[in-house]
Amino acid sequence: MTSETNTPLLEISDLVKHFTVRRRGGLWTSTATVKAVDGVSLNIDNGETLGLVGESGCGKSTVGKLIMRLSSLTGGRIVFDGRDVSHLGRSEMRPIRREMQMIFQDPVSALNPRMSVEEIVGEPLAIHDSRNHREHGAKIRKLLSTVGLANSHAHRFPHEFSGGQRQRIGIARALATQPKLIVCDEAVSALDVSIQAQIINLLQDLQEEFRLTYLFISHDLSVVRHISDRIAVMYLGRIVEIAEKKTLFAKPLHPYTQALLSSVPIPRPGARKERIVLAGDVPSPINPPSGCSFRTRCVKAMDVCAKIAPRLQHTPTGDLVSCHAVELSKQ
Amino acid sequence: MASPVIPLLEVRDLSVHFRTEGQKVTAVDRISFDLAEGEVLGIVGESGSGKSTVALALMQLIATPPGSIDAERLSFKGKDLMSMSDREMRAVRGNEISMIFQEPMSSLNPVFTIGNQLVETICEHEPLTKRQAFAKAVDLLRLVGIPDPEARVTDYPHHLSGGMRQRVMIAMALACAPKLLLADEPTTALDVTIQAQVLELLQHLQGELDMAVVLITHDLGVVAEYTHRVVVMYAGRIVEEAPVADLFAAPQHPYTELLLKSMPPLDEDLHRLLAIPGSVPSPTEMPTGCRFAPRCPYAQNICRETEPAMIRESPARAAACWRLVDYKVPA
Repeated sequence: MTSETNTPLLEISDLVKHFTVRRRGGLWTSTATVKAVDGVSLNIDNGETLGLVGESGCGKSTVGKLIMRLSSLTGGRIVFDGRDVSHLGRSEMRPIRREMQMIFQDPVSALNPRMSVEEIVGEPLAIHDSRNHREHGAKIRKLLSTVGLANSHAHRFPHEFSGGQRQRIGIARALATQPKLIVCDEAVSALDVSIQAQIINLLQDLQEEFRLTYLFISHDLSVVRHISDRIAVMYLGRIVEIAEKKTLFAKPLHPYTQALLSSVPIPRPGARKERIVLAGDVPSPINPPSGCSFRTRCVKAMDVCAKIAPRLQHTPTGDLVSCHAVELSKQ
Repeated sequence: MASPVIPLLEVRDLSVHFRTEGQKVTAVDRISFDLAEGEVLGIVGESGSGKSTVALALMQLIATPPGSIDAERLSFKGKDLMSMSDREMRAVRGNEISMIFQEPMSSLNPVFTIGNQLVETICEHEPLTKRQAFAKAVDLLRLVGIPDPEARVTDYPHHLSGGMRQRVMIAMALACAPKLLLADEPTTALDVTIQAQVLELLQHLQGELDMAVVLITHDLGVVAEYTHRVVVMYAGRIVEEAPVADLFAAPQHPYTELLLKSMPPLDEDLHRLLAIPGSVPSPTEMPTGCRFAPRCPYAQNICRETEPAMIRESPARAAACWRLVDYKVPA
């Protein structure tokens, strides 16, 4: 990375998450392993926004849940703010959890319908800051105004709000414990374009004001490009490329990144670029291809791709890519 | 582009109302547009704009009650759809006008093989034997690019991926070579690389079969790349109509203009996005005057009092905004 002097806020290395699933077939049930996350390593610097993109089933949301320790690790290491949190128990994790919060895609199912806005936003305070409960009322009002909600909203219930306003409630709740890291999992994907822009602007304002660090998980490449500093691209449980956003969009190196970027329709008639239409579907994570998991759909696949899984390697610009074809052309 | 002599589809003052709990809600309010043979028309709008209801009304698929459809004219190839009996309408539906929906899983019957479902559709409209219909089903699956169609035809919907299911839906919609295909958010549930596959397929088939398509979407990128002409809807009304290049180059309605500006660009760095303040009005509390006025930066008193009519600049271009009236009739 650019400077090795400041340690990253979050460092994850070789993160692995396997799920066991039951397969019914014939008379017997057998079990199989889904490799949802299969060796993911990345760093996020203080105050940075790292975008994590990929298509459904690539494991991007699972990475978010693993970082939050909402799901147990099969393997790997998570270092948050200089501390290894990969194996902390519940009570040890609690003080650390206030420093990392999450915003979810669907504000309807992420908010308890029977709690008022005041209770929803106040709940993290009650858990993490119970000694100062007299100040909670004032804090809640401050939080609501920070995210653009009125004081009069405090006693209303989630169903009385529009989608954009509900997402503001979710953001206020995430901010309540003054976190350092916020994992945004498809935080604007359910919103209409005009509302989406409001929430993206809010997230950027908050980042500036509170020096927040974001892991921004999304399938929407234009949103990710706008909000991120760097972008990591995932395919079938692995990261295939990490780069500064400008480099990634101007000169994607991995064949999957190239295909992904070329698939996005451009809202400018006639601006249509050369489109790489990928053949077939994403293979099943139960039985991924040997070697490079993208090789079955890759136009540049060679013999070596079936034998050896490529590792993430530094490019001359300091970014990371895992592809045999790219490595060969560099030598 | 075909120059319209007699339009394939003529819609004049179409309204759709729903009566719920004693309230009358107008989902689509007095909209008019034409569609030429072989033309691809985009209907864009955000949630609640009424765009999907338009398609259902064209197919006469609105349950009455609680719904009701009014139209001064709703004709297809010169025939009045409003005065058709259920039986006559059934002959049009599927045969001449077909529809595909957003979520292919809920549109396919999970307990029948896709071959059975295709055969049922084919036999409903054509005097073929089961065996002939089955052969035709295999041909259709091949037409929509399903690999190994002889084997896939005996699969159940759950065996297929989302993209494959949408291909099956397209095959079913094309079974009788319709003159008009209504595609309601056909790729919204799909990943971007699969979306590219499906849209390229639709575009290819549209040209091959010389079929007219109404593409209903919220995605302006999809509109820019795949349509000839666009209708923009807001809160149940058409606010602008234009050839696709003109719409993006010089939007006339403030809603269109702001909608285009609120999208994060893919090839440019913006510090902040332009957000449209507020949210779409609820159908039970429509503002008087222009429905966009409460969110419009250009709104004047007249906008809040009287609804503007569509001002037609040329046969293909129109928008409903008082600003255009000022240009035409200088005070």
